[in-house]
Amino acid sequence: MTKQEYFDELKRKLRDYPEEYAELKEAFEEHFAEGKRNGQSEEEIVRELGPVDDMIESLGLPKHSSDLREDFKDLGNAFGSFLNGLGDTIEEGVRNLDLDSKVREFSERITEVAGSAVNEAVRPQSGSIGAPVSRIEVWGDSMDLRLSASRDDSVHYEYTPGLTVFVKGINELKIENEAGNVVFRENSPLGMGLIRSSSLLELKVPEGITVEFHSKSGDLRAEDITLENLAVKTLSGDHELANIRCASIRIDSVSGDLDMQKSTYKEFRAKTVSGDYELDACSGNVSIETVSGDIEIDSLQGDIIYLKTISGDTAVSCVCEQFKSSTTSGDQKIRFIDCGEEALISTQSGDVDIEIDLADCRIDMKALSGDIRFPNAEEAVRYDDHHYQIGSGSSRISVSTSSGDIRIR
Amino acid sequence: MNTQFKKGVLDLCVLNQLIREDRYGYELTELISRELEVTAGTLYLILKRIKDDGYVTTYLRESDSGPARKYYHLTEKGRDYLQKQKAEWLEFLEKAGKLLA
Repeated sequence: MTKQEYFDELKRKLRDYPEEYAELKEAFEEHFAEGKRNGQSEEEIVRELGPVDDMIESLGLPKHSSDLREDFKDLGNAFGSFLNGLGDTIEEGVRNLDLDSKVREFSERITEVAGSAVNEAVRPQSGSIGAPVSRIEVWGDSMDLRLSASRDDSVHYEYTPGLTVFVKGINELKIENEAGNVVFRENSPLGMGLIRSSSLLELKVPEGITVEFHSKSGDLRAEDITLENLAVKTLSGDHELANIRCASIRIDSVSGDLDMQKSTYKEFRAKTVSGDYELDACSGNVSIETVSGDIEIDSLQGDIIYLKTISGDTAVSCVCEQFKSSTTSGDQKIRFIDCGEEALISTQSGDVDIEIDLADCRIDMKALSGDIRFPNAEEAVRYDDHHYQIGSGSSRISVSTSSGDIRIR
Repeated sequence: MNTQFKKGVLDLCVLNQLIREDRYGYELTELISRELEVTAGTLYLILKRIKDDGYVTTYLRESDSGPARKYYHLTEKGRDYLQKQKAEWLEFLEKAGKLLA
């Protein structure tokens, strides 16, 4: 730096303090002169004087705003590049981290450590309970239940405890038998843990007994059995029933779904909030009530069929004596109906779509604001827009809606 | 030497060079920087400060070999201040010296 440059910088940085500048300049001019006389170079003298910034700082004068601005700009740039660097570092770190494999590693490690500890503590249980057994109750939180037929009069059970990680205690099955009334109860440890697998109770049951299943999230699967009664109460457990012969089946669930096939019963009653129900090739009286759950019924035979839902949709094909189906906003689709006596189909805002294949029936329709469509009406005897008769009219179909549309084919 | 430490004593060092005779700026910076690592700029600021505080006065005197030099002269006030502060410093240094020995 030359003397001139030095003074320029000094002048600029002291532009708010001309007196100080003048004073220092005078002193420094003299200093330069003396230095030169002693054979020093300008640069050497400038170096001796030291950085202008240091001096200004020693003066204890407030900095000029534009210098401050520059300072801040420098600071900002530094911070910006720091952030950029940080961003790059994080990005690179995440890239290098390979989260997938870390998670996999972690879960494998947990399985290894906790799983083996639990495995050692938990033992499967199995055994038989001899006749007479007339009734079985099964209680559990998340334990699944599988029912199948026993080849003899005894109840055979096989219990596979679920593995729970990070919870103190283990799953355990307690069995009580009081005069043929058998209670299977799973005690699960309390607390929030990781459920690695649900417990499973496999029961082989003799013919003609009553089974009750009380569970929170346990699923039920029953196949090829003949029972007196089957009662199920669950929150979210799903149910699969196939080839069940039973006097009465009663199912209550909150969100559990039901899938029932090829089963025969005198009475099937079910209530659910959001569970979807599917019945296929079953026979017997049916009563199903849901809030938002959908109902799908195929090839159902029964004397009395009663369906009620608020917003769930229904789709039905059935042969019956009496049929009653009502929804609030759910749509109703009757794919096939052969109804001996009377079919009452009502809805508020849902649409109704019916396919009729009946020689003798009388059709009454009421729609407050919805449209009625009956394209094949010429085959029927028409009393007026709302009343038709096919054949002798021995069975009666009544459809009523508020704003829903009606379509009959 | 530590800057904070230096600051307190530098004023005294400069003032002390003026006890026997008046001196000009360049001469003072030479004297001080011979012993201590201090930039000439900083020393000129000290000169300005002790002048503003009334410890020194300045006057111009023609030189034989060039332009006039600004001479610094220790005032009575400066002399009192120096004596008092110097005594404190020396006492401190003596004690510190014992502790550091």
